[in-house]
Amino acid sequence: MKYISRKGVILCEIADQNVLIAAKHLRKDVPYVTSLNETGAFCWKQLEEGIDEKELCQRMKQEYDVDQQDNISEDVHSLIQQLLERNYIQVMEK
Amino acid sequence: MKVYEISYGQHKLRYAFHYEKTPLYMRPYIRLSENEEYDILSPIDYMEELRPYYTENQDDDYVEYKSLINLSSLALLRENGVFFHAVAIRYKQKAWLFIGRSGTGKTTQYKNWKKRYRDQIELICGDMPYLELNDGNIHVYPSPWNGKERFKGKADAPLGGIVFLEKGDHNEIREMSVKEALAPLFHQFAVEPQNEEDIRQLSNIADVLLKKYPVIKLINKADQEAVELCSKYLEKYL
Repeated sequence: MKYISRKGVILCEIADQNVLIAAKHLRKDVPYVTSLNETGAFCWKQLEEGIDEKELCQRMKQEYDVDQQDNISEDVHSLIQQLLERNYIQVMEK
Repeated sequence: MKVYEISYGQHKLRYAFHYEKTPLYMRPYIRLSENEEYDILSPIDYMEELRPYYTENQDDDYVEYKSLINLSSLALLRENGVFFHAVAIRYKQKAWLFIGRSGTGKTTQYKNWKKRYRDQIELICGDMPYLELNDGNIHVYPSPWNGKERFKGKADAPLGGIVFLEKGDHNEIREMSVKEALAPLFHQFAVEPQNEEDIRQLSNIADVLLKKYPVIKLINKADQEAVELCSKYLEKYL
């Protein structure tokens, strides 16, 4: 199952912080402003084109050169769940 | 149809109103326009969107006046400007913006400063000052939206900093971190970005604001001691 970010949510860098900002038409169901940490911002960039959880874990592993697959899987799973709950991302239609 | 104009910093907006009395709310900043260089803004769509938020007793001209904030802010965003929900004063040649939730004493703060510093304090705007980014600096100007007390300012000044007010049982002051200041600051921008371009423009202004200017938290009892504490603290940014 692939996930994709909602159109109208933009990742910006403001004073060295990664911030998601939602356009007006999304404001009823998406928070206006949310901060992301560095790995969160990396994941967001992958989600902009649509990606499944397994592939996202692999890219994270490559990017951060980490061996502990388990921790990454848990972190990515938790981030995806949080983004889904807040309507930032949705399941990609085939 | 009469066309009016208002100057905001380096820019002008032209307006055509649906109600004859709407321009009266915008005095003394508004005048009849003969300039044809700029597009004319007319707020009918925004009025329909805003009307449900107002009671029937509130006149249509008042709703038209209020609905112009958003429309004007969107137009000015493209010129690197934005309205910002704050009480703005000029003190020692710089603009200081008092922000905080409704009821945290923004107006009281202005009155207390005025009582203490009299002519050294000039009002820029009582509710929605206009912030303009130019060459990496932010300058603060008056706007026709002055809040319920109609504090109409005349002064303008380069930005000095932002003071985030919180009511408390004691007075305390400190500088906020960027992380802490970001969300509350964003909610003061009186604009609803429509698309990626608007969001990028707004984040560019926010970036300069947070990198270059201090955001200070003042927990306060809304007394004269808070004014002393704050004005002394601001000296390091002069």
